Amino acid sequence: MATSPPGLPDASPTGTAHRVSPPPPSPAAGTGWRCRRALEPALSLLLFVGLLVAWEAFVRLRGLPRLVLPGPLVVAQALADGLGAGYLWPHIGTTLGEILLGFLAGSALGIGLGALVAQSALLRRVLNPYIIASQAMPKLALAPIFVVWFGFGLTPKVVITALIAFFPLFENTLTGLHDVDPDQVELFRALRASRWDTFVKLRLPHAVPYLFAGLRVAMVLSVVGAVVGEFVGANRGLGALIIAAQGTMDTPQMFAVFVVLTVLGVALYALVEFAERWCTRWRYP
Amino acid sequence: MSALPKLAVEGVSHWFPLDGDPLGLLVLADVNLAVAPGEFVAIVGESGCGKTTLLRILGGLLRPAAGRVLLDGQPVAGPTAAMGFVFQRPVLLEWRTALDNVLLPAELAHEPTGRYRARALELLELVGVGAFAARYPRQLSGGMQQRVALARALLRRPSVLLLDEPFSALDAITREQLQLALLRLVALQEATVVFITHDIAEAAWLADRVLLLTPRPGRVQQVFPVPLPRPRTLEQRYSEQFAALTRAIRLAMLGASPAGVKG
Repeated sequence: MATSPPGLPDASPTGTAHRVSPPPPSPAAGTGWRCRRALEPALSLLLFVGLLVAWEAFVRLRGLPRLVLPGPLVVAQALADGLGAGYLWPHIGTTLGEILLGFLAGSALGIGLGALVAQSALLRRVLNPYIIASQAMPKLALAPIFVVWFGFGLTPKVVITALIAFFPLFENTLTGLHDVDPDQVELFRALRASRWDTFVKLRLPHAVPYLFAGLRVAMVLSVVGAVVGEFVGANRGLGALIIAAQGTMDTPQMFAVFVVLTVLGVALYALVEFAERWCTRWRYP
Repeated sequence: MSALPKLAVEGVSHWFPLDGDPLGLLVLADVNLAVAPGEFVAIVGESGCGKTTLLRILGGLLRPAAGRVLLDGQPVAGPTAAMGFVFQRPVLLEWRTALDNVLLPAELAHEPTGRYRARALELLELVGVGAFAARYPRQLSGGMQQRVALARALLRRPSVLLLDEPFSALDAITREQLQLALLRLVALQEATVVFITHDIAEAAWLADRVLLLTPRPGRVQQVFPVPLPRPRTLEQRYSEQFAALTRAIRLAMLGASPAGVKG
């Protein structure tokens, strides 16, 4: 993702460390810093244009056929056709639906089960090897068996997406609920807080930044999950479209889908980031 | 001193389990102490002498291995609303504003916080951070955070205030300001105070009595009444009387220390 926002956490499928993003730099620095900050988006845009020009030049100078590598202009044309003629939209809708359903189900389950397991140190220790093993297990490898179990419809894609979204949330919920400052726990004890109040008013709010770190990773992985699910068996969706384009050797269309997927991924990520900023305003005073 | 002490410590000993040692680590050995209502007692001692352990036992956060603590003649079995705590660190919840942090004790006691709002704002005003009620801890300096923690401890009008080296992490000027704020508040609340510190001057300036604990295991080595009249002023800190008192405490401390000049 060339335009992925800064601070994108390690999104490797087996990555176990979904770190909480550091707080933003203090705005105490001088005006020179502010000027440079204002220039950064312009520089990013300039780089983007430069890359496109280089790509187009490369394709033309080498005389590459569009079957191998279409230039950005050809891709733009294919994308405009697809969006204009309207045949891309239903596929976008299908994939977006799978991503969102899987993401929501997976994160809800991850947070819920994480919160449950966090209640017992024994349970946590007993389950720990399984958590590590399931993290290491490449979830995408399960896609074929889900086709066997759930057929070719929406279900197998949602299931695999949910499975992928589950683990970052499960693990980060556990960590977030557990990593509470012992002095704060002591304070709650001194104030005779009930177990429930300690959970709701101390552990849970403390875990919120951890949850969002998990949600950001899960969002990015959900796109991967849905598309790979469609690769394995589907007749609708952007993943299916890539496979179809491969069959008809329509490489520009394939690239057009890549662009759509990238924009989709970045937009969804930005949405999560926006929600995070709103929910953790206290970190960005 | 009135007939019934506000707070009484009777033969309290405590030890922590230690690997490979069946006796464990003895930190407090037969501590006895009575604090009169409205009295300000400071407890000083070297680090590791069990000061913090004693305070946690006083507040019911830790059950002593032997002995007991009485509050108004009743045994203390756990934390009670009658006692307010200020810890070494402010321990504020970062996601709550200063005001909401001060309201936490009422909230956790399931009392309507609306009834406490005015008082919380007044307390923030009294400790000198009234203008920062809507700020988050991240926006406050260490000294300001500790002021908020002080306001929080006083919200539900505890009759006893327990402070564990609350100003030790602050610079000298801020510390002095907070000491003055504490004296003002305590006089206003008519609270009984137990104040743990390793700063002899701080103890002598704030307290009615200074208790010196021996190095581990801690026991009461000596009690120093503070003859300075109230309200305490900054000038008193530079009086000869004050210098003589802190010197006496320091010498007593050296005498008991293994590294000291004990004859």
